[in-house]
Amino acid sequence: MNRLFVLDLFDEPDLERPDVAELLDSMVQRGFEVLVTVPTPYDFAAVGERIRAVECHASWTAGRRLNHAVSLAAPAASITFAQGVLDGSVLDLVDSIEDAAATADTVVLESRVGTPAGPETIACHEHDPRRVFTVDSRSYYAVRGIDQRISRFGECLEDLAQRIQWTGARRVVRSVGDLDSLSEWVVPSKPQFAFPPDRSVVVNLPRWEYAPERPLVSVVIATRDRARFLPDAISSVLGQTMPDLEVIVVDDGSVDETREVLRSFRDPRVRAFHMEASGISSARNFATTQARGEWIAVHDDDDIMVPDRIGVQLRSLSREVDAVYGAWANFHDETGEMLVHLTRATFGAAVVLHNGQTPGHPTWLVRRTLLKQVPYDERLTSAVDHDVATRSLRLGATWRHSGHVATLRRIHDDQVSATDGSAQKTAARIARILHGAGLHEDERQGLAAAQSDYPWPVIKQRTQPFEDLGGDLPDHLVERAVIVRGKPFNGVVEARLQGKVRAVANVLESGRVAGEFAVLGDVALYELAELRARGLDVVVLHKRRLSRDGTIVDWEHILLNAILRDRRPSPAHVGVVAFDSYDTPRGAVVQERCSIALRSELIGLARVTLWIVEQERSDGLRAHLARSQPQELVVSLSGDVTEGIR
Amino acid sequence: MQREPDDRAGIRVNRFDSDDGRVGSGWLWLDSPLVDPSPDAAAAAAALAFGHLVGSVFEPPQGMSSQMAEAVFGYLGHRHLRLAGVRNTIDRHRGTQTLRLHAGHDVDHGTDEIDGLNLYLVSGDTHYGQQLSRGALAIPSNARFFATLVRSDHSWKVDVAAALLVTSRLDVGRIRLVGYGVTQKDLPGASRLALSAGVRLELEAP
Repeated sequence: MNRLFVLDLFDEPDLERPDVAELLDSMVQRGFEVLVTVPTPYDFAAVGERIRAVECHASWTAGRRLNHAVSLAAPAASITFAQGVLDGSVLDLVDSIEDAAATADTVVLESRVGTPAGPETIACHEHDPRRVFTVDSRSYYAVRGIDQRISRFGECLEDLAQRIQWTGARRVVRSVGDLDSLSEWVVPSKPQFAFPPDRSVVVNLPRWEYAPERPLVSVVIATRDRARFLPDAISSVLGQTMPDLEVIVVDDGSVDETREVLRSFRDPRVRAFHMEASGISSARNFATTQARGEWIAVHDDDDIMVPDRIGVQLRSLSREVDAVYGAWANFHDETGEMLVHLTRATFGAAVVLHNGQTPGHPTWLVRRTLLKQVPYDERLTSAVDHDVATRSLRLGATWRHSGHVATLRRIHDDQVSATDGSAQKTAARIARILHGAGLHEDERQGLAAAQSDYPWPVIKQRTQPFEDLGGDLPDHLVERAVIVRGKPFNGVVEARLQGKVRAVANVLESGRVAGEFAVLGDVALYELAELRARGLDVVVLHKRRLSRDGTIVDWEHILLNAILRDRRPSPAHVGVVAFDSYDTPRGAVVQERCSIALRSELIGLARVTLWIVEQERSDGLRAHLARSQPQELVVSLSGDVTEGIR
Repeated sequence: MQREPDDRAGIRVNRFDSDDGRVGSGWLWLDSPLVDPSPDAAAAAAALAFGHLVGSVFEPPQGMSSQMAEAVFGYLGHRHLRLAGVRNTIDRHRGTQTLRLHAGHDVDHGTDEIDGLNLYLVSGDTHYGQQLSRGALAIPSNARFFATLVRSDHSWKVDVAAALLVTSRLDVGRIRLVGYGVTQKDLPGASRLALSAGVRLELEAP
């Protein structure tokens, strides 16, 4: 049992005050861990530290039984609350104070998840002891805590309160007793953000440092005898730009190498379960029971998840949404031909009555509680997703389109929709009949006709699916080069991909490192996932492997394109010089319009430093080059980056 | 109150205030033409189903009597709660029938001894249209689904709320809970609400 007491002092450190010191001693003697945070009142920069302190204490209590956690402002208030903590629960204490007097207000959030006075309660405060928020820890984790982008003092908890309300908690104002208030801070009515505010319920994406044992999303895969496709499916999940997830793979009685494939994944986020062949519904329902995330993302064992799918879908969550879905792109497993498929931006009864269509199953991100309440029907062998979607809709669940392609859906001879298409059509027909139950025929027809008023989502990848999405197709369909930006080398080495490095460059401006780049060639899908999982800034260039044009070889061209796109030399820059590892200039150009001179063969193997030269240093540069006499080749880089692929 | 063209009817939240909790579906419905509650029954049902979302203002769909307002305040009671739609009238009608509200989903139409109406709230995602026999009344509803959205330990209260919506048409004066894992000490708050709507709430001995 963890007994934690957070004393969050608002004013000057008062730890020497006899009553405070006595309080702390008392807490320690009674078995509490004591965390004291002492920010400076008007130092806005300290807000981040305070937020981290609160989240730190949240993380300490994660997964363990939290007896009491309270965070307070004024010393006198601290003592009052501390005594209450020693005597009973936080909420009981608030109630007892309410009975004692009524000179101030406490804001208490009661959550629908768990009991508000239960063992996992987190109490936070604004810098006004009259405002104490009590939330249960599960709600706190579900919205990923306090928004760390908020930089203004005293506003983060108002934002937290609003987001937790969107999960079903109400805000109840209760009067509190004679707590002295040190703060005269006026809490604004709206939070101030360092970044433009959004309406997301979940914040601190992509990565939240706390409570990692409670992933935000559980990606669920049910599989049987798909060992040849499964590595691509799992790799694409592990390479998500939002890594706060777990992958639950339920092996539904496979007799092929599925078990070995699953064993080959070392990432602890992969959780594999093996069961007797019981059917797709049973496997998915079992996965739901094992899921720890607040949200479940459905994924199929033969599909590939678009790398930003989970992040985009989480950001598109807003109040009153129970499920998010997206578009998908079919790709032919032999030719790589791609076609984007859409469903209406709104999923409602009219669409079901019109053609029985439901959101694409492998694009769903749904509340875990929804799938618990509306489980897959284990009597069905096909169209189980269709059944869940229409049932949840009738019960009142709200679905929303995320406005992007979520999944690359592999078209092959063994897929369920190819072998069981008639059953799926029957399911759609039954859904139409059921949804029309109780309606007169003219009402039914009128409602079905209304679906034409539902808008279509705007999907930007729709017109050029291969160009926009093809980089994540399976290895037998595309060859890909990857540009890694930022500080790539450590990550590349950690991913054990240094053998794939074709070119590396440091870019210096005015003598300072302004950027680092690496180009990796012939990168496999699982290697790409490795790079993404390390949080590296990755740009993928790809071409069809079956193309008659050969392979991607022009690494230096790709590299320089990337550099120029990233650095965008201004007109003041007149030249670029490449030095090799021995600081010998190996290529240069000095022109009024910036272009680049390099001997392409020189940078293929060497580590190269590029100087973008400013106008005022051009004379010195010309003199330097005159002495060095580098071999020179002018390359125009005005075109698209894909020019580098031939 | 809201009724859909397909005969589903119930209570829908039509406005959230800044202090309210929010859920995806602010609608509790039954697929039955029998939904036609008195104002006080609707108010009691709203308090039972949506009370845990109410931050500061509670306004039932058809108003409520002062007696019901007092019961609602006692049930939701916190200092800053505001009640709206209170009317200076009292609905003195009390039904005569007993409604046995079953926790289970398995509808038993073959009850030998008929002591009142047996009501089963069956899952609205798999059942369409109410089914009435001499032995039982089975009404599809989203009550169980809705309860999990609102509060996990709350489902029996949402069931009672759903039952209150059909008490007027069935002339019910007593709801007896059958098979719910609740005890007498759980009842008082909900019981006072139901009683103010003219319905006595009690537990059936196992």
